[in-house]
Amino acid sequence: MIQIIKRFWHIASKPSVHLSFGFLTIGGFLAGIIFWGGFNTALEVTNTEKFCIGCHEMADNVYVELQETVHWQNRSGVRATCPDCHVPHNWSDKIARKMQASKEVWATVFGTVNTREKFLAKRGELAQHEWDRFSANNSMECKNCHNYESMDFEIMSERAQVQMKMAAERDQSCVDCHKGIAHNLPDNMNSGEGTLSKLEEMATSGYKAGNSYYSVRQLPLFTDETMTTEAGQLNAATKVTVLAVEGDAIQVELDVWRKTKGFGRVMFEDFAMNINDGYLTKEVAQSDDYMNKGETKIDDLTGLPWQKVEVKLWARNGSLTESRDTLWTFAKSTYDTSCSVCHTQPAENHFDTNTWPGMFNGMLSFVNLDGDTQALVLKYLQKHSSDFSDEAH
Amino acid sequence: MSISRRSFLKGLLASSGAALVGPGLLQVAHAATTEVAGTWKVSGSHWGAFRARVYAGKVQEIKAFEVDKYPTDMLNGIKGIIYSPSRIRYPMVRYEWYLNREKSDTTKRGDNRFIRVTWDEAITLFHSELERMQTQYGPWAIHAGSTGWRSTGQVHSCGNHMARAIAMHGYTVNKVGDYSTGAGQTIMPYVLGTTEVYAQGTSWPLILKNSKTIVLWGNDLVKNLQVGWNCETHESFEYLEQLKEKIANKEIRVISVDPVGTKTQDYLKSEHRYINPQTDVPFMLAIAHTLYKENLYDKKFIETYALGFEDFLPYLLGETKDKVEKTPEWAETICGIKADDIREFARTIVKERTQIMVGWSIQRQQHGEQPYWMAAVLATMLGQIGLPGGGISYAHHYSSVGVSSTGAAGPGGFPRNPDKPQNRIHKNKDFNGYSSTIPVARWVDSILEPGKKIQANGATITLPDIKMMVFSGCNPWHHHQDRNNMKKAFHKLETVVSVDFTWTATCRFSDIVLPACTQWERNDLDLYGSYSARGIIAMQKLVDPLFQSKTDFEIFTLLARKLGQEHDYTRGKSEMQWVEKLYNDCVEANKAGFKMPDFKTFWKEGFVDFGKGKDWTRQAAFREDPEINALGTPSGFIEIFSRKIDRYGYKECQGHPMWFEKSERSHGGPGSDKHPIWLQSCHPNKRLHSQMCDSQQFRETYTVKGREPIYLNPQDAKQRGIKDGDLVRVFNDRGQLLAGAVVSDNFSEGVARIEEGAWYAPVDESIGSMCTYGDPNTLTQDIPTSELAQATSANTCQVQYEKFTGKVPAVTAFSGPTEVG
Amino acid sequence: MDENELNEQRASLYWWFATLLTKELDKEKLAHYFSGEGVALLTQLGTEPKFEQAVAQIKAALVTIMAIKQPSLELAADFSQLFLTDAKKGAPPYASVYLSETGQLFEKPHHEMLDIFKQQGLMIDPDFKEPADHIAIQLDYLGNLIMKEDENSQQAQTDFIEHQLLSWLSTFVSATQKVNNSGFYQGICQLLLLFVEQDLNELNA
Repeated sequence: MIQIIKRFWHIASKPSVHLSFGFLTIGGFLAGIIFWGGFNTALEVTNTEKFCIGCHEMADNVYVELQETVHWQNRSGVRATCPDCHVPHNWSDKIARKMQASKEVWATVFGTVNTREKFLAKRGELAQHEWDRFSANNSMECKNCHNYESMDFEIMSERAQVQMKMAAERDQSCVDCHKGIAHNLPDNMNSGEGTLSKLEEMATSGYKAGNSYYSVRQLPLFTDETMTTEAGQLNAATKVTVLAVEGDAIQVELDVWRKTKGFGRVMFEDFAMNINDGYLTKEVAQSDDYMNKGETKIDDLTGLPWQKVEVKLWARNGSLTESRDTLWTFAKSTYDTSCSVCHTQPAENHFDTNTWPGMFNGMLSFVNLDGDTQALVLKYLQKHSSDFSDEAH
Repeated sequence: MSISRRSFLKGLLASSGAALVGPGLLQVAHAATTEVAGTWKVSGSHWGAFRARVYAGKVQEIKAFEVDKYPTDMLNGIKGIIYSPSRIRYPMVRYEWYLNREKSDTTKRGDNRFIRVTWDEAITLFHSELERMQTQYGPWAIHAGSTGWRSTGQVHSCGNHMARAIAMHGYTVNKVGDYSTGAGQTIMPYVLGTTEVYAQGTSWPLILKNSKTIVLWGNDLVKNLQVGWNCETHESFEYLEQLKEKIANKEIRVISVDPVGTKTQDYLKSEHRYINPQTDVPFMLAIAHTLYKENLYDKKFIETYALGFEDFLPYLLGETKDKVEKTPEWAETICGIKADDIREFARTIVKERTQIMVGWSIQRQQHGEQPYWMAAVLATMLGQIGLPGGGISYAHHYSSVGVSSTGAAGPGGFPRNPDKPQNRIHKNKDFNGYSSTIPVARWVDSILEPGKKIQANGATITLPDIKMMVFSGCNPWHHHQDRNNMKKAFHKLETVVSVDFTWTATCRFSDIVLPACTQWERNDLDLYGSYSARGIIAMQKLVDPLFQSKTDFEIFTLLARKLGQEHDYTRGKSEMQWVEKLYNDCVEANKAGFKMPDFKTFWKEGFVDFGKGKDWTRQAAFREDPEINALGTPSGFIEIFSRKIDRYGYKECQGHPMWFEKSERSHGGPGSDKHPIWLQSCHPNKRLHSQMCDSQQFRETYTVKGREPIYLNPQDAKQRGIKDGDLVRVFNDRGQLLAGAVVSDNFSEGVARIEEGAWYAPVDESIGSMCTYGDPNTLTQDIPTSELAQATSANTCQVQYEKFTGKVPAVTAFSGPTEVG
Repeated sequence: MDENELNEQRASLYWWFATLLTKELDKEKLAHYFSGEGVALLTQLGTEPKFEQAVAQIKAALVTIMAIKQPSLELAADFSQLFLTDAKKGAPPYASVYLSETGQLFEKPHHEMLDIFKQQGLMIDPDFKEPADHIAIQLDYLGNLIMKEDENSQQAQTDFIEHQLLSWLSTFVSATQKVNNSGFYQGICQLLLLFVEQDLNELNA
């Protein structure tokens, strides 16, 4: 053991930039443990950006990608450098991170990611490694600059408001949603784990204009094909008719109803049925540019006026499927499993469409479902409620 | 020793011996154990987490878990549960039933001898009865809809095991709702869009910071927060302590609206607004009337967030059929609160930030939907819903609601549904025209009046012809109302199966009784803090299952084996593998937010701490954007008038909250001439429902002459010549019981309390026989709240009582299988 | 009859009582008491004047039971009524019930028995799952003690009978008397008490 330490120490003490950082890091690290006083200094050196991009894998891949993002250039003039996000600011976590980094540096030594191709092939694994770390520390580095307390929800888009408030309430880890914000995402993201990818796996591709499809999850809507201005959100398992396909964008039509008390932002599948199809921004909901208005009827059970509308908006080319069957199968199994922990789950047709939201809300405190799954399960229950069931119950 | 002195032994066993003498009971021990003082282990319960010292295979000592700063003294009852003389030690079958099966004399149920059978025979009998039901009748003949408070632990949750195994065999009648909150959980989705009764509430720090007045409406926080659905943390008590201080400093007013002085009120030293029992709605209506007449209510809030106020107003103002204006003067005659006090109360709660906290007792009475609905209307008129420290909640007394949630995921449970429903042995789903799901409290009616059609929550239910009941960790002979009516129903049942660890009255009225072990004789894990999700607690087995008891997991695995589906039942996993699986699933679910140690470390350390959550305000999202964050009501808004309920056309639950006279009511109400005393049967202070009543030494800390206490008003007692400590006979036309008098100023004239969960102990099996211990459900009536919820109405109950003078019968409960007589 | 033979007989009798109090007699085993070895044994025991009455009670009970359609079930119900209920209604066969302040199970007598077993390197059959102060376990142990080749054995037997057994046996046996059924097990228990007392006298003599 003494021999090994001696060897490491010997190498680390050489001020050579040609030597692999792997040796430097590990050597410096071990030395730091032994000669405690020198440790912090060694750590500070490796914390600089220069250190990071000293190896070409970093410089040629992730570093150039960073330069395309808002974390490099923005109005405030504050730039995030590598160690701002990737080396924990908390001292004790720093050590753990250094240990892990050594693996990636080792990879350099053995040449596993020394070309762009090899790097891309390995990106999924490396990214997952970072995401796990962000998950585990609740995206601590992000929160050094962006914390929930100081967010001004008022100036956010409505869609962002809804999502951010939900996240803030749970103090959710930022990277849960904001993956690929500073570097490109790995290819083949959908083969990962988690509900989102499970849902995405159900999506088909090659949508044809004139055909109808269903969203596999909640999807952002935009006003035009540039997809720069948000128009609202499509709910999971919502029927849309594709009108046009323009590269990454598709134009969709929603044949829906809305209540006219308020701004008329929320879209429902059918008259007097609170089956949520998504919502629109205030501007879109109150503009005639994106919809044709149809008949207006009063729902006798609430006294509220409902209006039929055909809404035409744009969405990203993807995340749609031809039939709801697979979505329902997933929803049913989630319902049967998650909602039977406390008691026997009520039969789907035990309640009617408009009673289910209230009953389902009551159960949510006891289950761990993400937003997409919640929306999907609720819609499944509503579409299989007593209003749609012939079976005597 | 000379041979002659032993002459009588001569030749005694010359020819016999082998045939008469069985195998020995002792073996050579494998290895000597080295334990000296014992081992400390950690476990949990509805009463909180604790550490237990185990020595020589016995639990010696129990002390509260150090994270719990406010442990309940009910922890002292835990040892007594494990070593209770009421433990079911072996699988037992009612002798008469064993001989004659479905032709047995069912009037003798509850008064019969039992015989011990082997596990194998017991499971065979259980299975053959299920089989007989499915083939001879159909799924409508079996009700296996266990309800109530199991023991804690997510792997062994008894209801899950029973439901899974029985569903692998065939379909059965199921239930909806529960005995605690039946009316509340049915009405509130129409009004506020969720069941409310089990919802997280505004965090205590926000209440302490913002509320100026807190109204505790029929709500005893200090008594009820002792127990929790999962392992209880007692974190709320820290805030109650702060509240007490704020009351003393006159920073917050707390007013209990209650017919009795509560434990909370005694603790907080807070105000008491006495109200006649069951008359909350007239008081609330008169408050609304004052708010309206004095123009104090929040019109803008109602306009933005509510529907139907204008449809409710005519009723309030006396412009509908009844032509009665709901003035404070009108209310005074019913609720016993002076008209001016009502006005003053209205002005107080509207003036500053007011948090209304409603308990569950006022919906456990006839028309229990109404006070819940009307309280929501009041809160809407105050306009503070969605503000921190304002608005209304229906659950702050439950499982530490109001302690903020960490957001961590808790462990899931053993799967309740079969993995392969297509492999169900009996696929028959034909319920023969009967309903497959019934409101939970209507199963006795089903047995007694099969085929009867009743209205329930917008549907018509045809009561099924139940022939067989299966209970697991479930004691309806405590939680259901009207014992003597139940006895009649049980005469009609062919077969009753109970799985439990203790001889509850339910077991004593059963035919097949299977001994489960207690939760401390198995390995498990639980969420620490039902709502706060404070952490995960290990439940390390303290001792091996006593006698021939088995875990629920083992018992229903045996049944699944009979079905040839053992592997599908267990998924090939052992008890410990399930504990580990649930833990690892939990680690996975928490990956995004919480670091958890590996299973081995967790099991060794016994606890994972998720820390504290963030403060949160109920309905704040709705208040901020009622369109996007719409409520779950039909309209998405608060429904003061529900057209949906109105269209049902029910008599006792109409389009808006209303006052309905009760079938029985004290203080001049119906039936009070003959039975003048209102009997409250609230949740107990020293038990969890009927759990822990069998813990002998702990029970003796509160019983009076060995009987359940009845709390009496001093004047009422004096009038009847009753002193503290006397035995009292309590009776009405439905039944009679013996209880021990505790005379207390907390109870007003015409008011008495016997806590529910006191074990039923009839003198004999005959209809009308006296309960010797003091189960209040001997006296309550089995009527629905209304056509809407069809829920239990235990708190609509009038009685009379007198000093007991006859020959005192012994308490028949807390015994093993035996004739009760 | 030599000492060994005598001790074998004593032990066998203790084991016989233990067997009867361990579990219910099945059909086959019960048959031995209607005709055969069981009858012979009872008859033999009945010749001892002190035991006459108890044996007569057992025999009378057997006659009653024989007349019932399923005698072994009836006797099983008797067994349950006596030994599987609690102290209020029956006669639980555990020393703790009669000797501890609380009347609960697993009290001091249970621990004393465990200590004895520990010293002797013994353990209870894991399938029996009863507290160590169960009457059948005590009788089983006593039988073993008698058969043990040890010069101090006699003193050990006396100590055990005096301290572990007779300390509660008569209370237990009177508890059985208050239960009203065929009377078979009440007779057996009465006989057991008399036998133990007699045996102790002999040991002390």
